[in-house]
Amino acid sequence: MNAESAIDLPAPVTRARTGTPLPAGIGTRDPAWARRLLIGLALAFIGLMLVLPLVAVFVEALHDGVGKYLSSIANPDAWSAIRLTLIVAAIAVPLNLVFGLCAAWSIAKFEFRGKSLLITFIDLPFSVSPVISGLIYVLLYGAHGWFGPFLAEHGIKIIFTVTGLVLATIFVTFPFIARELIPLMQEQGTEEEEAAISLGAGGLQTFFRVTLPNVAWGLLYGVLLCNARAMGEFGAVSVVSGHIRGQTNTMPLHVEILYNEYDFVGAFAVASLLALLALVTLVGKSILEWRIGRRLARGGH
Amino acid sequence: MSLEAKNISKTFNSFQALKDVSLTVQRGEFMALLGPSGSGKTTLLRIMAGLDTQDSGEIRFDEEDVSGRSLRDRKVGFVFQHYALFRHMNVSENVAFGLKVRPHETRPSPPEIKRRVDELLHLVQLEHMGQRFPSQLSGGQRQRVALARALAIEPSVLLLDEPFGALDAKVRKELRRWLRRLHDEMQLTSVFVTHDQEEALELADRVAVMSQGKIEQVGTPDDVYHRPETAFVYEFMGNVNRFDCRIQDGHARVGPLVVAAPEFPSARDLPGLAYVRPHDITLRAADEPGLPAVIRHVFTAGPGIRVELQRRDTKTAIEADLPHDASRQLLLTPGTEVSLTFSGARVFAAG
Repeated sequence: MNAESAIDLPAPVTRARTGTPLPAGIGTRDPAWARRLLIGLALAFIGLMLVLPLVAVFVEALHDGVGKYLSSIANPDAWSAIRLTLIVAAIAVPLNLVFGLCAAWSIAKFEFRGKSLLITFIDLPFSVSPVISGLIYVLLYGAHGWFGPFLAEHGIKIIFTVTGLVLATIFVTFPFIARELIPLMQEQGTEEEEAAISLGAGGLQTFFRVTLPNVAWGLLYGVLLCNARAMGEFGAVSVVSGHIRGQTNTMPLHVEILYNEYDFVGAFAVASLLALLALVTLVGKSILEWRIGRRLARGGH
Repeated sequence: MSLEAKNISKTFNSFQALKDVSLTVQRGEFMALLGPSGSGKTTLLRIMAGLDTQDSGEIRFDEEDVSGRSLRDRKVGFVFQHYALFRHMNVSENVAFGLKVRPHETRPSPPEIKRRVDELLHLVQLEHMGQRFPSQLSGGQRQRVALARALAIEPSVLLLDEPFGALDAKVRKELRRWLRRLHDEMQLTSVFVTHDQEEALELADRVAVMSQGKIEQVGTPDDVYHRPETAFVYEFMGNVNRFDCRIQDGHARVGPLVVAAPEFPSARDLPGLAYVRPHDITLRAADEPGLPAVIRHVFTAGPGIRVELQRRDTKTAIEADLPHDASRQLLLTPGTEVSLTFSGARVFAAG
């Protein structure tokens, strides 16, 4: 069975071996000066609009030396903002993980009426301005909102509390995980699950041994994006927070307050933490994309 | 284990996939469900497995009604058309899956599982592939992993959905013979779905020919090929020429030719269709008695010669398969006038 044991060599390897150069794209080649100009423009734009601000954050944060930088971060209010941001993300991300999995599962594996409507609704937070998302919650749960009197009667406070922050964050970050999983699960279909059950696996065994591992990298990718947004969210959170220092201030809100108080080093010190988070997310995202891409290339289906 | 489908009906939305289908598979038998796409063969197989649920009717394993039993509890070995291997597990893990998910009391010990997996990989001739991932295997190898995985749970029945559909011709033939040997050695009861007549005839003990949600005929390959009961089976089992005819007193008339129609002993000028296989047509010189026709094309078809002809009277096309030495007795060139006779024909009432 020689046909069976043959392993396809990827084309680039073959090419490298035979040493044949890639044929030039005839007719699609731009003159050298145009290429240089375009690449130069793109690089200049990225440098000016993306890299320079990022550098500025760290330069400003360290403007008065490392000591001042560290003491700005160690400030109790800053600490409380960092803690709060982590708590909000720690609640919102797992909840969205569960919601996202449920939504993706039901959309990918079942046929039901109103499916396309559900998909549209999942995208809603992407298309609504975050400030509006925050206002919706104030309108619903605020003192003068629809459920305001009911909540007040039962002594439940949502707006200007951590609960409100969590709700607003969940709303804004809802699509990230579901959006990542839906196409992945749709492409994989239900055959592997059917196979698992025909081999005697139960529902949970099938989920944890077959479904989850198959979407693991995509899921991680979605969690990463969701987490970055949850920690960095400003608009929606700003509306429901009430900006109570040490209590309902997340990192982005704290940055704004410090900046408005002309505490530039403090503002940029906290901002540098957010920037670091962004860089870590970027690296993680690249690694995951590389892994997913490699799996896809290897899988070929 | 014997397997019986009793009066199975199934409707998807408004499409009736199965209409009151009954079929019995004997213990140790290798049964083929043969039919064109949309004939309901895969639906019947999935209902036998418990992957789909029938609207009415019963599935019986060894006389016992298992209709209420879930896929998980039926313990059938099911091989999916596209294999459905677990892509994140290597070959060994795929094969071991059915053993590893057993409840604690019945689960074999890890060394025992490993021994069984090695045994199965040996059986499907993939001993050294245990660490590979499905994506690193060829189609034929994936197919064999799927089979080993299904056999790991020691199923009483093996159900295969288009098992060779995605393979190229050469690999397909090898796997076919190998599967037949495996079936005999392991004394399995197997049912497989196919749309390939040749595959069904070569592999199966009996063939159930399906069309439009019904079973047209069940019989040995010899039965369905040489003694088709319906016009559909006759047409589906191979190339065939159709001739309009009139049936009268057990005989049918095709132009000047008379063929036997013993199924219609007392018919009176009944419109009918005579079916003649290409290899049942004989060419003679034009001055001999027979149906006049003109040769249009001649080409080599494997071991023989295929001749395309045109009837002189109705201008319809006719195909004839001749032995390779036929050209020695007759001039086979386009434009030659010939006379046709039939060495075998089957007559059905028209419509």
